[in-house]
Amino acid sequence: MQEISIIMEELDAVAIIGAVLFISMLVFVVLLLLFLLIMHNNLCRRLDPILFKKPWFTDTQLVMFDSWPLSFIKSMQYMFLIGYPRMTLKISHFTNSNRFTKRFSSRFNGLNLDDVPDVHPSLKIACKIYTIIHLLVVIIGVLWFLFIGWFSLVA
Amino acid sequence: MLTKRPNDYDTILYRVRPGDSLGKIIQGYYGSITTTQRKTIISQILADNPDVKDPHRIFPNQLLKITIPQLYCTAESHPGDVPALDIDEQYAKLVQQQWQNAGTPQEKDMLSTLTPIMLGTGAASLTMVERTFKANTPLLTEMVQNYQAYKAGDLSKGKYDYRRKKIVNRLNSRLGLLSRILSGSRTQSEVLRISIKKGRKPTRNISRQIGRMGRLSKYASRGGVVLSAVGIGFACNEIANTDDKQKKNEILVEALGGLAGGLAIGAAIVVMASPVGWIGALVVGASTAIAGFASGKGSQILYTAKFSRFDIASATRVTQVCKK
Repeated sequence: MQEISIIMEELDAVAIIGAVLFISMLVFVVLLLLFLLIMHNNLCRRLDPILFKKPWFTDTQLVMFDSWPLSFIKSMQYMFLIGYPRMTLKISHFTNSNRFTKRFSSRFNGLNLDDVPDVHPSLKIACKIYTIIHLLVVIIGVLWFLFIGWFSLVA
Repeated sequence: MLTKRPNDYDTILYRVRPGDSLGKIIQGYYGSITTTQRKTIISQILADNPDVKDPHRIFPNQLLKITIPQLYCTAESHPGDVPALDIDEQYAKLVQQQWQNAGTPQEKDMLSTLTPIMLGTGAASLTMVERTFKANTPLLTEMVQNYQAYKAGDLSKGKYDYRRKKIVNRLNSRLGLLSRILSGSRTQSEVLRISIKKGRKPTRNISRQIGRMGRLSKYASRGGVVLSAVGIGFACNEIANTDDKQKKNEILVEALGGLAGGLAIGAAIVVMASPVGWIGALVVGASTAIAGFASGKGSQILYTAKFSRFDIASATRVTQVCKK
């Protein structure tokens, strides 16, 4: 404890913020990857026969998301859908119906809330936890990039 | 002697196998022919290959220029000759050796700079290769169906020839340079011959090609994993090859920062978008790689400015793992 307090005294606020962002980003990214690796096999096995087909995915996506590493994008989308179906379908509906965004993003085209498959409650909770970790990684990542951008300019 | 090639003939480069003879080769491509026809073809082969003086003396691995009919030929598949995309551990070791053998410090430095970029871009490129193979397998299946329809009497010969030529042209233009990985020096037309050997399924060569495409797709997919591992391996190599403690820590911080930063941006992109085409997928891969590179450099600057007195590499035992 004494060593930690000595270290904290020596470092200034900028250094502490940088260290906190770096370490938390690293920790959450590792958690994200572990979760993704575990859930990827589970979810793809269960949901691919139901969801991985037209019209929910385009022809190109059906080819692209079939194997590593782009198949992880498909697993992430499954987890968003199972964890928070309303929010996911709202975002999907927005990107699918907008003429500009549709060129770059298409997700669960035409899927309704009733079509979302039922899964075991534990799987649902796991998907919710994953979505929260994923959003935390995004927020911390953005803050980290803003921080190092600023720091690189002033240092 | 054939001095003018009719339009329905192809010219190929045939690699002589042990035990081959000219007669055997001709029979494989032309099927049952008369003695006069065989003599004519042998004369043609001798005319096309001036270094072959005696038709009875050909050697293994010799390349012979042979004119063959486009249809109803048998093409022996020799998997050993096809330069498959063999991404395995040996390949990864070879890439690392190249780095170690890089002559000047500037070359090593350049390779080191490329290390974080390899993590993203390499995997994305290989995914594209893998997808191209998988997407073109249906064309080969179409070729088989075309032949079966012709044999069943549903298509006339003219229609069959026309459709076959169209499929081969489409395959050639889609595969582009990748067709060399699949078929080596042979053209797609030569590789996808309908076999006329007795006892052998006519569409055997096409089925083999389908199997080959599937296997190459898997290699490309695994290659993405290897390239990422190679990228991390480079960072470990750099740590092992430098004696300066400060430099070791900078490399470690840069590698960790690059990995985490790249994945964070990748995660952000996936929240907002789901790529619909190849360009989108490459943008995701390249963005992740560029973000990783920037994050790595930023982490290094922060460490050097504020945390240089902390020996993170020793504290995390990385120096014990990555050593000479």
